[in-house]
Amino acid sequence: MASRHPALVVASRHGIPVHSRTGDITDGEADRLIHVIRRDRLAGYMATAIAEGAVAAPADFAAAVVDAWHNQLIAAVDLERLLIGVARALDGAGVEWRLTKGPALAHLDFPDPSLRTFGDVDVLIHPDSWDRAVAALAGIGWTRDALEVSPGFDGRFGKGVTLTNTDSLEVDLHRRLAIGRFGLRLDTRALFEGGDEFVLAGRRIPALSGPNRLLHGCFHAALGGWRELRAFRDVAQLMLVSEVDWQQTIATAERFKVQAVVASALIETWDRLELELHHDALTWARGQRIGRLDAHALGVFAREEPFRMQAMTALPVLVGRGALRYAWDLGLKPGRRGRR
Amino acid sequence: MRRRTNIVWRRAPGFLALSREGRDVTVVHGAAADIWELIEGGVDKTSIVTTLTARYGAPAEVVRTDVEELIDLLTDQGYLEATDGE
Repeated sequence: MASRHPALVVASRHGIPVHSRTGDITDGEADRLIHVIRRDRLAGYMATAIAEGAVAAPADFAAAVVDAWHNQLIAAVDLERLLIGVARALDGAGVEWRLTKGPALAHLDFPDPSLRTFGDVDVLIHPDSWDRAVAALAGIGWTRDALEVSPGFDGRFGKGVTLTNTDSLEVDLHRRLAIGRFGLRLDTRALFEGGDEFVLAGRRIPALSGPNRLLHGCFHAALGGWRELRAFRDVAQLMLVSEVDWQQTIATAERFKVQAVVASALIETWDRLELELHHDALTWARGQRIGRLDAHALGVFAREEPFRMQAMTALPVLVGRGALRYAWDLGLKPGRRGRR
Repeated sequence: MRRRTNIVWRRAPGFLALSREGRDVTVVHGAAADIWELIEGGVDKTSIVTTLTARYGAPAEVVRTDVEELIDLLTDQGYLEATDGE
């Protein structure tokens, strides 16, 4: 697997305060690795690792990495320009919201936001504000790219919607952090307890609190559709650079019975980034006994099984809370698709 | 001069991308991108030329021309504004 290449691991952990390593890239590997770097948006980490001597690479590979990084930075600027309008629309409609993932991490958790690039904007919406948020963004030209599985599905069970503009740029509105078993267990309202903020283009941008950014980072690392090195770097960055209150993250996870997600993400982060560091959070993670249903659900997401299979992991949670309706909506409407 | 507050930007060595609402992304390559960093520190035009001349070993007149062109461009596009006395 290309993402296990030692030089990619070196680059993806470069800047984390652990024992420094070096790696090499040969001419024969360059094409394959530049593809991974572009796809997983690792260019900032790799360019910095090469510039600082942690990775040795052919000159044309290094130039291609820098070129990829510049393109990713242009995309980040483009998206943040749009974020300003999104923020104004949401604030104007009285929506309670928090920025999360890419731009929030870039500004709050990295010493230089240019290191952490991203391909869309992710916004968590308070459940009480959901309809107003969708309407507010529709009012400034953002349109939904997929039909709702059934009327009311998003509010009751869904992860959220992707909205696109005329330039095909994306804003992900999250109703929950994930589809399926764990997303439904975690009450989104709890993620609005506390919060951070930063200023972008003179505008105050609300973001998830550090512990909740870590919780979302773990959800993405364990359950996301693209579980590659960047996702594990996010978890490591929050744990070891930002040093967020991970015990608070675990307390929230335990409160909503999603600790299997956090434990799994921490263990895989240490594994994929080959972190040699002892950490009490890892000790906690390794000590967790993950039940059969949780383990099954984690496996469904880890194997990136189809949307319906992931969504069906919620059925045991929904017994007595609309399980039949949920299964009906998911299973008997071929041709309609929901948000992954 | 100083940066306006209503802008978004990213910087890498020899590279600057910046934008604001209603305007496409402007990209600056090469040593000129350093100007952005120097302006943040409140440095005036003459000091920018002195710093870049020393940093890159280029003739001062060449650097001065490049700096003035870029500052004019960024000002025209609404990324920089004059401060009192400029």
